[in-house]
Amino acid sequence: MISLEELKNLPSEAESAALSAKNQQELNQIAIRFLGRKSKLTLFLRSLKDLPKEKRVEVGQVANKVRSRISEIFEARGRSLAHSLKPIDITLPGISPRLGHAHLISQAINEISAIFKEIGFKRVRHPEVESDWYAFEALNMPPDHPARDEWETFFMDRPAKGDGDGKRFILTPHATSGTTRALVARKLPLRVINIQKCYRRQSDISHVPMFHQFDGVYADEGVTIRHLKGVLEYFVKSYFGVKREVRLRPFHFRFTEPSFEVDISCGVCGGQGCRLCKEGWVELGGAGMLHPNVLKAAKIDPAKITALAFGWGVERVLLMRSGLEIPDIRILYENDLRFLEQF
Amino acid sequence: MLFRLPYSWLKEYVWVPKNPHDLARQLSLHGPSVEKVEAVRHEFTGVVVGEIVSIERHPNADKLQVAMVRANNGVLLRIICGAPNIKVGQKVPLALVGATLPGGTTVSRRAVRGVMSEGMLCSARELGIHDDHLGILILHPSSKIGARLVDLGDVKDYVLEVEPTTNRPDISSVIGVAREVSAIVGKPLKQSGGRSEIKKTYSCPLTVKVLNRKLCPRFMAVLIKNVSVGASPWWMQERLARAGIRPINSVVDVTNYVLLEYGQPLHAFDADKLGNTIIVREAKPGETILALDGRTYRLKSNHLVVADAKKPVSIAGVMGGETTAVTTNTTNVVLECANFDPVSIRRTSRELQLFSDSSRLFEKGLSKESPTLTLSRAIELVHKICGGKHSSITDIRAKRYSPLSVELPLSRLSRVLGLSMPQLTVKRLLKRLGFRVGGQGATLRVTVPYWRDHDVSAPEDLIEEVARLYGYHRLTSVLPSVVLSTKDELEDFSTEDKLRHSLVAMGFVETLNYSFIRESWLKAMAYPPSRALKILNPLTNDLVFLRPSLLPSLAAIVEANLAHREEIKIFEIAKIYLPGQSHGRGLENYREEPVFLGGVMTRTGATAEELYRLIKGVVEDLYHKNVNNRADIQEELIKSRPPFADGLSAVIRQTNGRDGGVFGILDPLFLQSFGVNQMVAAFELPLSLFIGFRGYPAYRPPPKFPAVKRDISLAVSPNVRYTDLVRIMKSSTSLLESVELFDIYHDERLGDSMYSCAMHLIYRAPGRTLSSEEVEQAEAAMLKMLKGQFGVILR
Repeated sequence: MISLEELKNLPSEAESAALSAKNQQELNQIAIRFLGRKSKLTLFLRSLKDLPKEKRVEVGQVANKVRSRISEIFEARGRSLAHSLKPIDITLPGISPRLGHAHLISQAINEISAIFKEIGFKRVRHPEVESDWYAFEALNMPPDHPARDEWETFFMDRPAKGDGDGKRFILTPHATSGTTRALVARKLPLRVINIQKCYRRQSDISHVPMFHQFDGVYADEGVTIRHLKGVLEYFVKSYFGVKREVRLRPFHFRFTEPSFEVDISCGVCGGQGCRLCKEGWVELGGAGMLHPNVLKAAKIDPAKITALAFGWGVERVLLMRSGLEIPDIRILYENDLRFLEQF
Repeated sequence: MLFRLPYSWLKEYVWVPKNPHDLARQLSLHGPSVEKVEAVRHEFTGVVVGEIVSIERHPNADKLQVAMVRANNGVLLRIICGAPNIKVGQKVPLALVGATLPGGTTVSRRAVRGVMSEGMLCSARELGIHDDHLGILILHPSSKIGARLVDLGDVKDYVLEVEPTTNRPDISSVIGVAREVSAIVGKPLKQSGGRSEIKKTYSCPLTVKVLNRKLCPRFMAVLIKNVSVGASPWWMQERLARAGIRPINSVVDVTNYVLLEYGQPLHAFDADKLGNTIIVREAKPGETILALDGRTYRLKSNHLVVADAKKPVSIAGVMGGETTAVTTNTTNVVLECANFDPVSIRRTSRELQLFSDSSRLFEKGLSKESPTLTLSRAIELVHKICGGKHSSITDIRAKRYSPLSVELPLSRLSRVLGLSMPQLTVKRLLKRLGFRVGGQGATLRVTVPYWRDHDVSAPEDLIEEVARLYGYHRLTSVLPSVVLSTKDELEDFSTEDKLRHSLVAMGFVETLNYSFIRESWLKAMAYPPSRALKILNPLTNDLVFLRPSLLPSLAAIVEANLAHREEIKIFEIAKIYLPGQSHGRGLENYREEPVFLGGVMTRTGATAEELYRLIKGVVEDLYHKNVNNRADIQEELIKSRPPFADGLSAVIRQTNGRDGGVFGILDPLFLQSFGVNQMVAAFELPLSLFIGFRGYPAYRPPPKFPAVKRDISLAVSPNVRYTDLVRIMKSSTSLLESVELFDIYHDERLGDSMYSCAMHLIYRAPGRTLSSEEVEQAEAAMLKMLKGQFGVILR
């Protein structure tokens, strides 16, 4: 009789023997050698009755497993002999159907608009060639106000004087001009998000002269800072992950009062503070409650209506979230296929 | 505008926690952001105050001097020194033998050209305090001989980099930050130093005239006689240097020190060079002034100046003039502390391209009240450091000051915050910030402190103050409930998305290009630059026009990627910018910005016909998938539609007759101007082509009876259009279900007058199985008709 050790080796012996069979007939003969009446396995099973009862159960289970394993081996080999295909080198490369690629910015815009859609913000479209009334004046920045200097604005060469559209035609430097338009043109309650191209006269590793912003506004009776916090947290946790925390830092914008900079806890150090963040926080963008003058400019009564608003850069949130590690934002606009095809 | 604030300085005015990072966090949460906390310390040891007792020329070197310097306990040390600025009686930093200096130098006893030097006199740069290395750093005469230099100031300190928002220039100062800290931590301000009434000693001999009180609402001046101008004390130089200001001389240093402390600029004149007349006026056209930066500025009549009887002595609020500057030879000083109109300062500063700490503060708007205390503090410090006697103060104001008062209905507060705050809490928070609060019940009457009179004028401003001090982090967040509605629904974005997905599935790569293009790109597509929308102040001289087409940008991408690609398939969905349709005024008549879908493809070695059919296939698939899967697009041959090539391109005719975009082969000349020398196909379609189609075409059951499939090859004249060929074939028999072109080839045996066209034909009858006889009959009839109509021959 064979030992338990030898018994356990039987399946691998059976495997190599089965592989050596060139047809079903040969395979059958080999199978009889391993599973037939005079096989080592059968003899072993017969001898079990001589063992003490508790031992018999234990060894019996092992032997039965070996038997079913060997049966499987011969069945599998039988199937592969039946279709007579040569095995394939499964490490051969795949042949790509050549899918194209959506731009990273489009991917980000889709994600952002989907998140805001969940909480009721409809996406709208607004002009890029805009009048300074929508971009500045209606946003509590009268002509010649120094705050206008903070936007490195592109002006169009045709003056707009005297046509009731403000004083200058410009390329809008922020998506907030769309917020003005929404307030002026649409009915309350208003809950929209405007994602669009914006333009500023700047170009360096963290600035491009054309970029994308998303600017949301929610105007209704009873809108409060607490709603603003809720919206910002919903976005941050949906886009960056549930572990990220949000902090509102007092700031100043002409068109919101109160105004905030929104920080999120640093994803690298988890808020402990590291060289990539400021004391554990990274800056996301601006937000606030619309200034009463902005509502008044849109002929909305600030005594009745309050509105929350926020406006951030698409490129910024994209680069802040992911492991892209793109060192220079201008790479996004170089259109090198070797870059675009990575995503 | 970052403000560098030494922590020890802040501590003079308010209680601060031991760990500056704790304060930084608190400030960022409730007040101005702190960008950085920097630990600073002196990197030298063994430097003491020495007094120069005598100076002799070095016997063996023209440029060296031998100074005897008194140090600790009256010990005299011989020091060799190369700097020309030392004089007998001066107090100077003396590095003793064994002293270490920043950078790791150790001072040793050594012979210099044969004379033993027992230490070293140090420049500001050698001590690492600031950059001046032209001479030995001179110390204030009151410095105690032998005292360790580090004991005269703060050997270790922190510098907070505070970033005040643009509406709060008052925070760009030690006291400004101290006020914020006091409000946040709830501890009172300390009044450091005597800020008591300055006693009048003699009446001010200056005649001050302010000719434009709108541009200069307040002007204060004082004369201080018999000052000794020299080096300011070590502690002052140390703080100025840590705040990023270079020490100049004791009077100028005082004005800068007080500027940092109070956030109110001052200017000092040499009284003897200035004379007794001061006129604040607009400049006369063509007047010039040599400013302290060493440059001469030509002034215009909208620039405000401070002038003496004849000429400008300072560009008001921006920069002083060189001729009246205070130097170490000055004995009598006039201090000016004034308020100027922010818009005027900003315009002057911009027009002259001259920016200073003073102009940057004034242009944000400062309180007309702040000169009072600032000037007192400056007088106090000048006395302390330079001695002298001051006159009475001349003070000219446009208007008497009365503090601003704002009503705050508590209901508005709770409406913005989303919680109701007890009246007492609101009062307490406002008072901490320096507001006086009166009124009972539902509306508070709040008096604004003078230093906030530029940024607080409405209830919302007060609401922000209360909210930030209370802490935004203490407000619990609430998600607004969603009210579902179809209002504001725009189909554009879902359509863009469908098109994007289709193109990506077809292997196209999405690109993203700037909206501005260069003039040569317009010319390449024969678009008159005079029609294109033009930017007045472009970032670079070539990116001047807004693109009226997506194709030039895409052609440029082809060029940039051909070096490493055999095949390129790219697209972009973006707005194009066109002049408005009508000539009226107004934005809507000025421009249109419709969204377009543009794509190009090229494959090295492909023929025009192949590329045309490939791009047409793309357009057809987009159309079938997104507009109508039954109807084919109606294409019309077009001419003169650059950048498309004549005779190789088609326009889509929409059912309403409108132009639905163009596809085809790009003009090789257009491509050459981008450096592309191979065939490229393209499409440019308005998004509107795809808008407005919802739902599905009616269901058609799959055919129950089998089809008969036959292949035929025809010899066709090039004059016959494929579409006409198919039309005749289909009209000849009702059994022909579809025709699929699978090959076109030009066979030499046929010559130029004919080409070969191979097709799969599918025959089917709706209710039965076709017999081969039926199909043959139908096909024979069809061929006969083709031959009759077009001279087509079966091959």
